[in-house]
Order: sequence, then C-alpha cells, then structure tokens
Amino acid sequence: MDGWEYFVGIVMPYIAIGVFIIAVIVRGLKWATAPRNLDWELFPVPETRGKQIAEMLREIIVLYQVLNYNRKLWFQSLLLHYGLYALGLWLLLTVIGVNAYYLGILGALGVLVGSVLLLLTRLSSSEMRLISNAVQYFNLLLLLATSAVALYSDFFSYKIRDYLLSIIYLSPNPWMFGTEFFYALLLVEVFVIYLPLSSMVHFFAKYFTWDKIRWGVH
Amino acid sequence: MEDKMRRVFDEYRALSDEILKPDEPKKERFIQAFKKMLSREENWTFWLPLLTSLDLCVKCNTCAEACPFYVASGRKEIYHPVYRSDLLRRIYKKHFTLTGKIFGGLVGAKDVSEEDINALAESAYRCSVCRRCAYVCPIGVDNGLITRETRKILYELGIAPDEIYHKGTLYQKEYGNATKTPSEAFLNTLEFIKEDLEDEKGIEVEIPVDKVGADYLVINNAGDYYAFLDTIIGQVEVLNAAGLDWTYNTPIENGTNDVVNYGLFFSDKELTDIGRLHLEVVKKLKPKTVVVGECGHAYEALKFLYKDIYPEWRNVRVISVLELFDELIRTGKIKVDPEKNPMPVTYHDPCKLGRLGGLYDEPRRILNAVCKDFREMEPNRDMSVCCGGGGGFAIMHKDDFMTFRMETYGKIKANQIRETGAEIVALACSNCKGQFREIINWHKLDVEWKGIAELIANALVYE
Ligand code: SF4
Ligand code: SF4
Repeated sequence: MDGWEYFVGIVMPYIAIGVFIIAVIVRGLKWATAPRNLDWELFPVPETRGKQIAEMLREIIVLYQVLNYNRKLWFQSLLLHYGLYALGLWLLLTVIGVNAYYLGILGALGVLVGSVLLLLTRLSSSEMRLISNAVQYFNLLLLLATSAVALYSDFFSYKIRDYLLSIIYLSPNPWMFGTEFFYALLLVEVFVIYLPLSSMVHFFAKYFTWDKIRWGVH
Repeated sequence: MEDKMRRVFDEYRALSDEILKPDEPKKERFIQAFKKMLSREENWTFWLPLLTSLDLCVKCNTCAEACPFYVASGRKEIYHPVYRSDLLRRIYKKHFTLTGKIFGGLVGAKDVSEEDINALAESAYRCSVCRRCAYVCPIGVDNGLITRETRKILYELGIAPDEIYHKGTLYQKEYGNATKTPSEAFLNTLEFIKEDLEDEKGIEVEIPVDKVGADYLVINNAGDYYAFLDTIIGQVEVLNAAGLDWTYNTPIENGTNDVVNYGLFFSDKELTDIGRLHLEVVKKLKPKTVVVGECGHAYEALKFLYKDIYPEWRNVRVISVLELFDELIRTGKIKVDPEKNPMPVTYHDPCKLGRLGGLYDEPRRILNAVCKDFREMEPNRDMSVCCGGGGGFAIMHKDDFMTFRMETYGKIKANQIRETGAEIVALACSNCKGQFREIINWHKLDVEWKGIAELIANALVYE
C-alpha cells in the first residue's frame, strides 16, 4: 500500500471532517454572532414562522428563486442540487445500514450532468463569462471530477459502509478497495474541505441572508 | 458652453470635480475607510449584510435581468450589477481575505489604481439602491447594499454628491430642513394653503402647528411645500375632512420640519444625525403617532432604521400617510366618490414604500376607492421597477446626469406608463414625483402625475 493511499484513506478523512466542522462552526458563529443589523427587509416578508419555513423549504426543494427569476439556469441547478441531496441521503442511509447503492449512483449522475451543463451554460453566456473568475469554473470542475471519478471507481458500493464505520470507530480500514477508490476518496475529501470555505457555503449561509436580513428575524 | 468634467467611469458625472478631486490620490485612504466598514463594531449597522454580500456571490447572473439600469443601458458591461459590486469586491479580496492574498486574480482579487477608485466612486452613483436585484438573488446577495456601503466608504473621504450632502443633510442640520426654509416662510405657506382652500373650494381649514400631544404629527418632505404643493393642499383637506387631531411642526429648537433623511443614501453618520433631529421633535411634541408624508425613503428611515439606532424610538409609532388615508377611507371617516376621478389612473410602487416598506395593498385600496378606472402598471408590487429617482438621484442633475436618469430608468417607466393607457400617474413619494415630472417632459408623455392626497381630496364627499 502506497504512502499516499495511507494518507488519503487513514489520515485525510479526519482532516476533511475536522476542517468541515471547524469551518462551518467558525463561519456560522461569525454570522450568528453578528451585531444586529438595521432592518433591511425585502417585502413581502412571510408573517408567521410557519410561512417562513414553508418558503425556505420551497427554496430548498424547487430552487424557487432560480426557477422564477433565472429559468435558463434552473434545470441544471436543480440536477446538481438534487444530486447533492441524494448523496447526502445516500451517506446517511449507508451509515445506518440501508443499502442505497442506486441512490448514490443517481446522485453522482445528477452532480455530474448538472455540473457539465452548468459549465456549458457559463461558458456559452457572455454575461456569465464577464462576471466569472477562475474560481467559478474550478468549483464546477471539482464537482464534475469528483462525481465522475466516484462513479468510475464504484464508490457507492455497499462495502463502503464498513469503511465509513471504521472511520467512526477511529480505526479506519480502507484496504478492501483498489487504487481508483482512493482517487475518488481524495476528491471527495477535497470537496468536503473546500465546501464550507467557498461560496458553496450558501447551503447554510442562506439561512442568515434570508432570516436575519431579508426577513429581519432577530 | 461649460466644459464637461473629465470622464472617469462612463459618459456621466454625479460627483463634481471639487468633491471627487479626480487628480488627487485617495486609494490608501479608501482602503483604510474600507477597513473600518469591515469592522463589526464600527459598522455594526450593516456589517452582516455587507459581509455576506461580499462573500457569497456565486455569479449566477440572476440579478442582471432584474436591474433596470443595466437592461435599459443596452446591457453595457460596466453597468452589470455584479461588475459594479466586483469593483469593490476585488479590493476586499485583495486586501482583506486570505484566499485573495494567496490566489489573487483566480478568486477575483485585484489591486486597484487611483483611476479605479475614481471609477468606483462614480459607479456608486449609477445604482439607485432599488434592491430589485437583491429581491431576486437566489443567495441573498445585495448589490444595492454594496453600492450603499461603497458610498459610505467614499463619505469617509468626504466624497458625496453635494445635492444630498452639503445641500442636503448639512442644510437640514443647520436650518432645520434641506430647503433652508425659515419657520416664518413655512408658516406663510400654511397660511397660503388655508386661503387657497377657502378661495378655490370654499373650505375652511385649521392647520395646527407644533401642537403638543396630538394624535398625529404629520411631517412632509420640505421640498413638497415648494415643488408639490398640490399634494400638501390635498393632505390638509383630507386631514380636516376627517376631523383628526393632528399637527405639522416647525423645526422648534434643534429639530427639523423636514421628513427627509438623505443620510440614508450615503452615510450612517448622517442618517444618525438627522434621526436625532426627528427624535428631538418627537420628544418635544409627544404625538401619539408620527405620520410620514408622501416620501418613500423617509418612511424607511423612520419606520425601520431609527429604532435600532435610538432605543427611545422603539416607542414611537410610525405610519405612512398612505396607511392613515387607507384607514380613514375604510372606517368611513371620510367619504369618497370615485366618479370624481373618472380618468384612467395608474400607480407606481416606490421601491422604498413597496419592496422595502411592504406597503402594497394600502395604495391600491385607496386608489380603487377614489378613482373610477385604476389600472396596474406592469410589473408592479415587489417587482416594480425603480423610476430612477431613488438613492438621491431625483435631486441630482449636474453635467449630463439628467440624461442618465431619463434615458435609462426613465425610458423604462415611460414605456410602462404608455402601456397602461392611463392619463394620470399616481405617486406616493417625493423623489418619484421629482423623477416622473422630468420623465413626462423628457419623453413627451401625454399624462399628468398626481399625489395620492390630491386624488383623495378630489374625490371627497362632504355631507
Ligand atoms: S443573483 Fe446574487 S449570487 Fe447571482 S450573480 Fe447576482 S448577486 Fe451574485
Ligand atoms: S439596486 Fe437596483 S439599480 Fe442597483 S444594481 Fe440592484 S437592481 Fe440595479
């Protein structure tokens, strides 16, 4: 077993999880403890907490803002986001002992196709090219590469459960996998580290921009 | 002909040479002032919206189509909302983020030149802070807020349009109103209104001034007493017809009889200073309710912003005159007959009353009650397009700035009005009135504009 595989299989999962958790906490705390800003709402503001939650769910489930105001981007975004939701669910199910192999495959396919389409959309729109930096392309390429390599390496097979549990029990054992698995794992780890540090952090930052600013809930 | 000022961003200039001093170095001071804005203590008022807006943009381009100015300009690159925000964001990334320091241009960080700062300063006055882009943004990034924060940084360097700063907030602090109207002249205007109503309509009215403990203290934009007097006359008539216990005010000592707060457009310091003047008035006159006249940005300041700046303000009940009129009609305190306004009327939702203030239904209920043929302008309500008078623009006209106002936002509004087929545009905000007055002339529209109060007064039925 090569040293890099040892590093990726044994050490890096903890680095990735650690960075993810710390970054989420640090960034979350930074926003959560922000001084109360002056009211800067956008109306209509849903009057009840129930309606606010419904609106938030609508955002998560149908990406309403994109659907309503940027339809050209909607299908691609939806594919990508649903892919990520499916992968989150796959991870959960796998850990608790449900074989969700096909869900994982579907999720990765969603991310793959979604990111390819989003990349093409970005490249083919002069307006999007104008406002994009390298980092926007990098984000999509990272998603694309991670999902493609994960699919290629059969990352979602149920045997990964033993590995996931071994990580949880602090005795990581990745040795049942071939080399290609480690490529996929490396990319997944990079993604997990990168996610909360990048603008993709909107997966939870949006709570603040909506709740504290747009709706003025304090 | 007067020489045109040097172009530093596009073909317009909002800031005079004396104020911008385009040939004077200011980059270092700009960066220092920016640092202050990024401090949660020093800029607590908008720290969270600023940081999230700087950090979270995913460059999805959703905001582009929402920006009236960008679209009406023929989609010029430099007017793209994100292009403008990035003028500030690149400095943020370069000087204040680790990733920017390490990865530079790859993550959008870039050092800027003195000329870039000049361009940035002018660009901050090519956005009316209408926040239509923020309304559609899937992430909650607010390009309008970035514009306003840029203006705040510039203010720290002494840079702000003289119309809203030197002749705006500074006049208001010195003279008690931005129009420099002495109390005596103000009282004379009120006398004139009384006489006018008597002569024209045969109505005798009372105009209480500085009454302590009145149910309603009504404060108007002081400019209305000059430019939009018909709105004020209508307001006086309606308030009298309803038999309310109300009052206007003079600046008294250290107060103001002007509801405007131009600090809202460019400086939290000025916003706070003017807020203190309003607070002084309220403390002295102890009204049960403060009624903001037909003025959008003042409603935002008095209703939403002061309460977290001045804890005492939390006990002040603030409503818009639209809410009051709506209540008077609904409760039958005044009787109106829509047949008296038979012409087709449309309504423009002012950004500050609608998207930023939530008053969508009140004006519609009023107009449906007092006009026979009310027609919606499209788009409306939350997606209403800024008229181009917002953000201080309505009183800015140096150089070719009027062309900018008229050929971008103004062009869109002119087309929207034409499409309604209306003969009257009902307006509820002084800045909108200032802008529509010009739009109607510039685009040769065969329509009139009227204040809401005028339309109500015209429909009043006396028993
Ligand atoms: S809509 Fe929001 S996230 Fe998208 S480019 Fe505009 S500001 Fe950025
Ligand atoms: S606030 Fe209004 S004018 Fe400014 S960028 Fe957004 S949509 Fe355009």
